[in-house]
Amino acid sequence: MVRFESLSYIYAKDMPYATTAIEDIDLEIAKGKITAIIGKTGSGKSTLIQHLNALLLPTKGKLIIEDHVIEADKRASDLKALRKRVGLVFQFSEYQLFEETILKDVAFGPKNFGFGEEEAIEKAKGALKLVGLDETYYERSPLDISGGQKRRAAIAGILAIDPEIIVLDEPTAGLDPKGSKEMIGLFYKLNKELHKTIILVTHDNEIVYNYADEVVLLDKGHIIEKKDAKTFFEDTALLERLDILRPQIIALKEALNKKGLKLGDDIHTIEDLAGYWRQHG
Amino acid sequence: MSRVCNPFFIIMAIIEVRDLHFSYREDIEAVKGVSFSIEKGSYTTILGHNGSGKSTIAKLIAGLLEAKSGDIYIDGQRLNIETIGDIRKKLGIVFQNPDNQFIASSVREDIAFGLENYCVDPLKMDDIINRYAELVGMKENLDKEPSNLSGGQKQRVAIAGILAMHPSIVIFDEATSMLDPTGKEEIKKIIYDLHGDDKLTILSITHDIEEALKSDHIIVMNEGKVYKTGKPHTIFNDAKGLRAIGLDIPFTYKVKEAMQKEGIDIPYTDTIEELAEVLWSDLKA
Repeated sequence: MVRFESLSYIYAKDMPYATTAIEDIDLEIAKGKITAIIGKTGSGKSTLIQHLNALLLPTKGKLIIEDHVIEADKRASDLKALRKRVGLVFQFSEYQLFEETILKDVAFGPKNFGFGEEEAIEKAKGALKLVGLDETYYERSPLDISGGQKRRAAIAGILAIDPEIIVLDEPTAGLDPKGSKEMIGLFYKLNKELHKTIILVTHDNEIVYNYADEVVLLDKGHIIEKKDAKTFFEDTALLERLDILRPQIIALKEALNKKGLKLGDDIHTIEDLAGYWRQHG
Repeated sequence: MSRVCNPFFIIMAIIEVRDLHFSYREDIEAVKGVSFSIEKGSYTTILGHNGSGKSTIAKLIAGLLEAKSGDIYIDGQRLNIETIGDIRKKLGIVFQNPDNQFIASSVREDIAFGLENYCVDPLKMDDIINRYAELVGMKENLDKEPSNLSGGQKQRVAIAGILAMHPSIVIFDEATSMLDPTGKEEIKKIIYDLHGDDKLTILSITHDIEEALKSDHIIVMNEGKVYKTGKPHTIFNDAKGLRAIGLDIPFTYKVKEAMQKEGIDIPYTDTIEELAEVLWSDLKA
């Protein structure tokens, strides 16, 4: 269980240019689900998720993750155990690859968490298999593979320490359609097959609509809405007011609605739509 | 060479690429014999996944990379060391990363930079800057610093700076891929609005199939070769082929495909509004 309690974070606190990035955040993130955190650039999404493994400590309030409590001005108890539990994958994480070979790079994490050489290598191999990089990649340089593969190698580095909660900041940014598809497939599998809790920051509302269970909307450092992802995008007035790009199927439903055809909330995909036409056309 | 002297060719094709080869490393060829031509005043997209060679083509045309073999003709001139100065004056390029292109300390100075390099009369400069800042919707932000601008706004400034120099060709090299959805839409709208000016040829390198759908002509690249060229309708009619090379078809085409599977035939559409209209009339019928 992850719970934020009246949590605020101020950058450069006590300085003339102090900026409140997030304010009075009360939020519970469900275990075993995919939660998408959305909002405009500068709305506080990245600040919020950096609290999840205590990279940032709250200025006010607290964050509870299972038995860890992260409080204002107090160093989190047993930081290492927390960071083993919560894996944070940064935006453009492939820039952090640094070892000579992919296998060494992925094994770096578990070694750092105290596993012996052999065990770390075993864990690295398992993680690489998960992200779809087979043994032919082990000895290759991380600089030598495609952008999508690099990012998956970077994620393997996090998976090798087997966290329960995986936080991904813009995992598909800059990837081509094929790379994006593979990335989405990967975190969907981590959730559905390995039951990992996935927290996802993204600008891509197609992903949010099609794959997330819950959506949390941030605006100017505040939580505006927390809802079931499918229901969220049916709220036309809210989307309009906050200038949120609609997933294409929602845009089509709205356009049909204007013509006088009200389609039910149970139509989520192109296939659902085609099925409706077969029955009613 | 004979085609260069053909007046028909000079009028029609502003960019002609013939049997182009290029390698970054000796053992791997990034561009493997690419040929195509681009009509003057058209809006062409080069579509392909990462590593297909599409960005390399853009850099070869802009003379930022030198081909191993093959020819590039721009406006009838063969690109080589003697002509590159002339050709560069006709051609502007907008790159992927907005931060790498903003060099001055304000929007005004950034747009002025190119003009100063071209020794434009300082008395005329303000007018030119205002005109192009307005064109990209940045007139209210002329005195802003880059740190106060979004990625999309920085890209718009880069576009204004390029247009102020009156190029006949503008290349967008994945100019939207690092932007958030709002920024992407801003830039795609500007590109779309620019097209229609028959003096300006637009070449956009992208993996955004929805953008390609709005262009006049598409060149699909795969593994360093041209997979197919044609009008959007022809290209996106080949869902199977595109998916085999890691691309997909636009949303409106996917809906048509799903309807077909249910035995319902609807015409091709390009926008969601058109699609809604078509579906609505089908249901009423």
